Amino acid sequence: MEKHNNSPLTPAVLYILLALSSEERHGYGIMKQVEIDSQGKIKMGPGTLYGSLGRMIEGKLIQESEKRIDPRLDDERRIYYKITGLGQKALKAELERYTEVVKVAKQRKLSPKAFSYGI
Amino acid sequence: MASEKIHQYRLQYKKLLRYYPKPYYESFGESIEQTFADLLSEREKEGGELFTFAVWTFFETSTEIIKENIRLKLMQDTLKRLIIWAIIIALVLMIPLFARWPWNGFDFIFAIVVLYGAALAFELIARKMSNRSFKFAVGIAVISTLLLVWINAAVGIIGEDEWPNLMYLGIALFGIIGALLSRFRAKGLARTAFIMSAAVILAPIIVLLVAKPLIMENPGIAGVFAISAFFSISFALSGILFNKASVVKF
Repeated sequence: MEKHNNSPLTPAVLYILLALSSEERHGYGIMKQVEIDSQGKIKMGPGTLYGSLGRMIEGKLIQESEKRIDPRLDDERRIYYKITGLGQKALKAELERYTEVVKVAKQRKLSPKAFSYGI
Repeated sequence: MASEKIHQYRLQYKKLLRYYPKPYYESFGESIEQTFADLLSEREKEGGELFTFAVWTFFETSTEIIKENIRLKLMQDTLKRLIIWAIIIALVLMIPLFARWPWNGFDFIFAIVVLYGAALAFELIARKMSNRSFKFAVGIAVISTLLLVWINAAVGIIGEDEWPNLMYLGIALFGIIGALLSRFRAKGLARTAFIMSAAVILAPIIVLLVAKPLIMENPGIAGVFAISAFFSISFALSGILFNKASVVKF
């Protein structure tokens, strides 16, 4: 069985995994979902997106699914991508890491505003 | 239906994508092009400006094309270097073959495994960093470990085929495991090298305390300590260089 090395994910990889966790998507679909999930904070161009997708396929976090038409767009057939078991594990580990960080921050009564220093 | 403008941008973009490495282009070229067209269509529907967006995307994709080409070049270079190492090792092994050294098949296999393993270790670890100290440290550690294993397998440091020599092999094995566990990070490698440096000098001291007669054999106490000191200094030097490489400069 494949094992994820449990190292932290980059923001782009995290949001791509998050976008694919609910359904298979093509490149444009992933991009849009990442933009929504990150509230516009992560914007990728096509080159950056496919660079990440390529490395994620190499790392077996995602895989290509079938090529099909997206009726919401046009009649071109597009490659869809789906998350693998290893990708789900990596996403779960990353979300747990985030939960832990938030827990520690709450224990110490820290909030993002605590670091504004009046800037 | 996409406008003529989008069609023109798409054609130009397709030409740009051809500069990706061929395998990459074959895997993703069409999808990248489709995504670009989808983004343009979305922008057009929203009444947004297409030219600026297209220029930005061309720039963004060009950067990625350069990155992918560099990545491929690095991979090809490593492969090339591994082939060169294989040729060098084959040439080196011609010496015992033609000089008719009393080597059997196992000796040759052992030599290939150890020499190529050392070359592979150097390539894989040194490639991780461009830092010169790191590269030197890897070189010293790999050559020292290789010599340690080789001398032990050939004649032994403390007597011939005596159990204390297993300690030296254990130290070499520790080095390999330590490097793997530290994931080839400079700090972890430094720690591993320092432990090896201490262990290699501790080995003859242990033998001196528990089995003195063994250390009296050829090359004698002074010889054994001299050899151990040589390895200890080499590993310590490697550790110092790894430590130097681990310091992040701001």
